[in-house]
Amino acid sequence: MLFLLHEALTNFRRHGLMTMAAITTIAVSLALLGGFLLTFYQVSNAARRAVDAFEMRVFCRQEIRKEALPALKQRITALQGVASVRYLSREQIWAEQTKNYPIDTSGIPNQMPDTFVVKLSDARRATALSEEIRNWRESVDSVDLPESEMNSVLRIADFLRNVGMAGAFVLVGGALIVVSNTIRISVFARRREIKIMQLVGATPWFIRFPLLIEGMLHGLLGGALAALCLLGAGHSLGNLVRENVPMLVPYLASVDMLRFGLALALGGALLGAGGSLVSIRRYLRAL
Amino acid sequence: MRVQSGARIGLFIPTGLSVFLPACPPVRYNSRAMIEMSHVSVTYKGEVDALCDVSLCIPGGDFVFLVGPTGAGKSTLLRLLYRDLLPSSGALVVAGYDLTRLRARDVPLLRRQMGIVFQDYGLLPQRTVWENIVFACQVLGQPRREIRKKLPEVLDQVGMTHRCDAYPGELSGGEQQRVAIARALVNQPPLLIADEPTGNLDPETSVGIMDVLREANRRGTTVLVATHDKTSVDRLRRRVIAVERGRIVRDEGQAAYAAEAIPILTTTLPRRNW
Repeated sequence: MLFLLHEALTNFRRHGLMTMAAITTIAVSLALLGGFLLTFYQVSNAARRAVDAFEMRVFCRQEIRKEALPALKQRITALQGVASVRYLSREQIWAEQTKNYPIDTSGIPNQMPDTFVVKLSDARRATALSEEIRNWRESVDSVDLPESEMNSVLRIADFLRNVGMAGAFVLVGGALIVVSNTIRISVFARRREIKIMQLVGATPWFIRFPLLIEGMLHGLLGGALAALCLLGAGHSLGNLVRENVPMLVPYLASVDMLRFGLALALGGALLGAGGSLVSIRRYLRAL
Repeated sequence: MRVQSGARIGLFIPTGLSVFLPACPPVRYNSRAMIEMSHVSVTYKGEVDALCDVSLCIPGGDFVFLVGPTGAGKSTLLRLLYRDLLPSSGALVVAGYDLTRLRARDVPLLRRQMGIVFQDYGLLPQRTVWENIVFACQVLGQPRREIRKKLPEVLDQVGMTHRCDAYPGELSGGEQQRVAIARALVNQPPLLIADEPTGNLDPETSVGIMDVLREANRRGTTVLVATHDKTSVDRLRRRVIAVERGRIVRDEGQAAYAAEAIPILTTTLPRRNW
């Protein structure tokens, strides 16, 4: 086993150029894939936050009794698609109005209704929810929902999600092809060695093992290199946004780059090992 | 599938390596016949007859030249012996292994019974002479101490001790072929197969290579050499099997490259008692 590991590591030195080519090719394709996934995550997260920012306001009838309000709050909370419900009393709202618009509100009685501010967990159910609540005529006067703005943002979020999925699909496929092709080329360069090993009586696993380890290391190092590049690029880009476009900061999601880099490196290792096994198989086909 | 049974080969196999080394069945070289071929035919794509109804028997310890024009079927015959090719029909036993019934996973076991030398040497360019030869021992899982002990012997046998740190690219054709022979002989296989070993070499170097092969034979290895090297065949005067258009057209002991008397034209030779 030690000999096989030693062989795998020595081959790194022996086939230096091929090793470098394999690692950089894998790094570039994984960096592209990783960069796209990070960007997609940020954009879709921003779209989700924009949707989440919308609120529905439920205005109660003027004649509603204060004792009925907790039951109404509970009734709204129980609806599917509701994340949270906040109660604003008519006195609270009036106090705020008089503070903000003292001239407009002076000398007139409190016209404001008791209000529930509803945050939604599923923006797609917003219209259905507002329709349902509007029908509670004995206690609800009206429901305010910025429907058209909300639908526009939802359409953009849907579009981004579809484009992202398609892009990720294409890039994952591309990375798979590039990595397995790179490994195949490095195995092809060793076909003479494989043939000689076969002729001197080496078993298939004896031949496979060092190449498998090599493929895995190519993938691991390529993935790690890609993760390092993305870490640097992500950090610089984050700083740029913070300094120049501070309004975007609330929309930036924090990503555990260490975990992401680790996943990228391990993904590379898996791709490398799988690619090696598949590529070696054709050279080991015995009669 | 092994035909004979007998003592077990004493290889040191550390625990955990069993997946890399096939389980060693009982092995003993007690048969007088190293190669037995009976009515063997090889047909490519069901049309071209590369070998046609070939029968021959080579006893252990023999030195045999396989001669014939290019495309006659010499290399096909040799490829059959190391199971790079399967016969379309007929029976074939090499070093006690019935090759028509040999399982793919046992092919490494067969190949450990032979050393193979090619016209293009087949050396690994990134490894030194020493590393190239060591490689053949390491793939069999031999302990380092044993390898260190036997390598100088085999290097001495082929006269390459002084170049053991050189890379193949730094050696002449003759020297590279000597290294290839050393690699083939290092595990002391009972059979040595050489496919045109002097094909790329000048006559003087060829003599040296043939002498190395003759020395290996003198030490007990069965040697089968496919060659166009008329001078060497005529000089050594060993058994000559001539192949033409996929058939054996001559099989003579102590013979020359070309038939000297009336050729024995046979397609299926009677079994010889060795």
